[in-house]
Amino acid sequence: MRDMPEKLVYSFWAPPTSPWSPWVKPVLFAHMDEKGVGSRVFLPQSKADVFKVFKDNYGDTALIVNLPGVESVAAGLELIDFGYRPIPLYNAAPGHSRAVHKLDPVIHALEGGTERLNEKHIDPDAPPAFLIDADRIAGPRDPKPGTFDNRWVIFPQDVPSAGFLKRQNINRVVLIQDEYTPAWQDDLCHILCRWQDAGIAIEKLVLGKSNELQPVKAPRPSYFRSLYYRWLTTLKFRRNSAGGFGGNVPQPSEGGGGYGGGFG
Amino acid sequence: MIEPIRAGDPIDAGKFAELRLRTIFECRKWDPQVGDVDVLCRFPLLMQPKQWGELADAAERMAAEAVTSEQELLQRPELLGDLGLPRPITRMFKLHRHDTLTNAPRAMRFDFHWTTDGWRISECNADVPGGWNEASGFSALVAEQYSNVRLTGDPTGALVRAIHDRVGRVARVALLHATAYVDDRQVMQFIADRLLDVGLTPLLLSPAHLDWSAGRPTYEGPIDLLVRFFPAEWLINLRPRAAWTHFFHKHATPACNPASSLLIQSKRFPLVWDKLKTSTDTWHQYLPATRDPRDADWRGNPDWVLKPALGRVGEGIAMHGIGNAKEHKRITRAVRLRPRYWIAQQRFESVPIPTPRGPMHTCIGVYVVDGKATGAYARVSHSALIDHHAMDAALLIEQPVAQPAEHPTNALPGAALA
Repeated sequence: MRDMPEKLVYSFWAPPTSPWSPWVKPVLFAHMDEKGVGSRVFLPQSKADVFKVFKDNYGDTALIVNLPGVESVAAGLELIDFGYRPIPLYNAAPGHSRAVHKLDPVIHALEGGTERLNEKHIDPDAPPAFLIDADRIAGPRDPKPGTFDNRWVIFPQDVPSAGFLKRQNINRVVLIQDEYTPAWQDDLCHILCRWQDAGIAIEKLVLGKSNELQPVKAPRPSYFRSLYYRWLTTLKFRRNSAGGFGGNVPQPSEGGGGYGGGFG
Repeated sequence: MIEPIRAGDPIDAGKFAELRLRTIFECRKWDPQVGDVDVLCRFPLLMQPKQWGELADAAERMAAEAVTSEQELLQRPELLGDLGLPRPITRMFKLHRHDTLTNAPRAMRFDFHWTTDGWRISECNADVPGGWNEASGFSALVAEQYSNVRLTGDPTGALVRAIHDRVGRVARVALLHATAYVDDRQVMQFIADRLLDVGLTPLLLSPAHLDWSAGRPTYEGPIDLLVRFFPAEWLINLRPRAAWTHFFHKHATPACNPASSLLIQSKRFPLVWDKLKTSTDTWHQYLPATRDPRDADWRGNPDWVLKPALGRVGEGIAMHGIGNAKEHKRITRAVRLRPRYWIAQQRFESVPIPTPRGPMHTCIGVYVVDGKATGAYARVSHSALIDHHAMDAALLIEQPVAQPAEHPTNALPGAALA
């Protein structure tokens, strides 16, 4: 897939035949031309053994793959074999070499994964495996001066509504995480609680711990269902990270005091 | 009442899929889906040249009144406390009231709505207007699909020309934004592409990244012009603490827009009109009556809308019958506690127009760059509140079609799919 135009790579991940394609986030694809298409791809150890719990896929279950960095892409590609369509929801700009999150491996994995998407047949009705980065909010409270703060959060507007899921016959959502990820991330709870309230069952698969599906109830986050939530979140991040959640942290020489803000 | 705008025929689904892909990658539109809404609209809105002329003229007159008012406000510190700005910013304007801060291109967007009383505006985005990708990029791609229409203009092209006129070729232009906010970065990236096209050097930076130690902004070298897509009221959170004040001083580097644009961005701007020497007649004509919440009978009254003084994209707005009751209660409580940061505005009744997706409300965002109306795009929504769930639609002007002499007709010429 060397030198494949980014539009074509995106089209493999978001084919017009899938009802879930509109949610594929384009931003990392748009940076493929800058990041060198066809770079070497590292995919972590296979989790296919664990994913056998999904072997009976009746098309009624959506997955949220919330693993660190490139692991979600790798898991998403493996879940194709269990009848799922990976839907990348990464929504951050890669920035430069001193970024808080190195997104180049994810970009390369998305690009490298195109071959697998091309080889495998994915049913147009395949349910979605939404791919996000479990570390999206993680990072130092006060990033070092000179770093590019590209942490991000996922908003309810970034995923389908409960109504849409139900119209696609989805009545169960499984959250896949590893044992090192906080049990409940606040931004995800805003999404899961909306789905849960609409009658969609939530289950969890914690890799490395039980490796079994567990029915769970997502806790209600603050400002749940508030129109203010997106606004407040945006304000909080921007206010706390001087120049923007995602802004470059100034060098001490640029102002003498270094970076004094924080995240969260 | 005859609507001055109408919906065109939708673009064929297959063609639109390709157009959507081009919009994402060629126009840097990285948020084409919001919740369940594909925000790129398959049909354009069509308007007669006369109607566009009215909107363009109104926008230009309001822009002129706003800029003159801004200058007067800088000289009238006694009025600044009425604008609902953060106190440190008000103090800064009082300290630097003789600075004009307007030595750069000015860009604004006026949001017009078709209502039972004719055209009305809901707001003017005078500080950091967005939507450039849609107005110049998406709209141009949609226009290619139709015959007998023309674009309203190219706002981004006008902005880039204005910047180029100020700084000349090979200048370095800093595009200041919250860099990892994809919604914001896509706007800056789109403008950066256009700056590159005319030979300028764009720098995609956070405002916190600037070095002001030389008395003017630098970043690995001199910067010739600042384009700010970072709301002025958030600059006060920059670190170190002194960094934000530079944006409120007069300095040799032009800033588009200057921080003083916040004076007219505030939705409480109308509260000082009667005290200004500057005429705001056009604003009076198009903006619904606006009051301090303490001076309006808004409690339980569906005729009033509550808005934050510095709210954006329809967020934080309370309208009876729109949004949930709990949210409405939360906002009204905030208004009671801190009324000086809110306004009560008379509600207008938006008139939906028939579209291929059923009746929809419309909002026409008209750009004014350096005093001239330079184009527009539309947002359409099933709800009267046009917020981030609204769809972006191209606004196209219908062109007269030469009629064959043997079949003269007075029928309105229609846009046809090419």
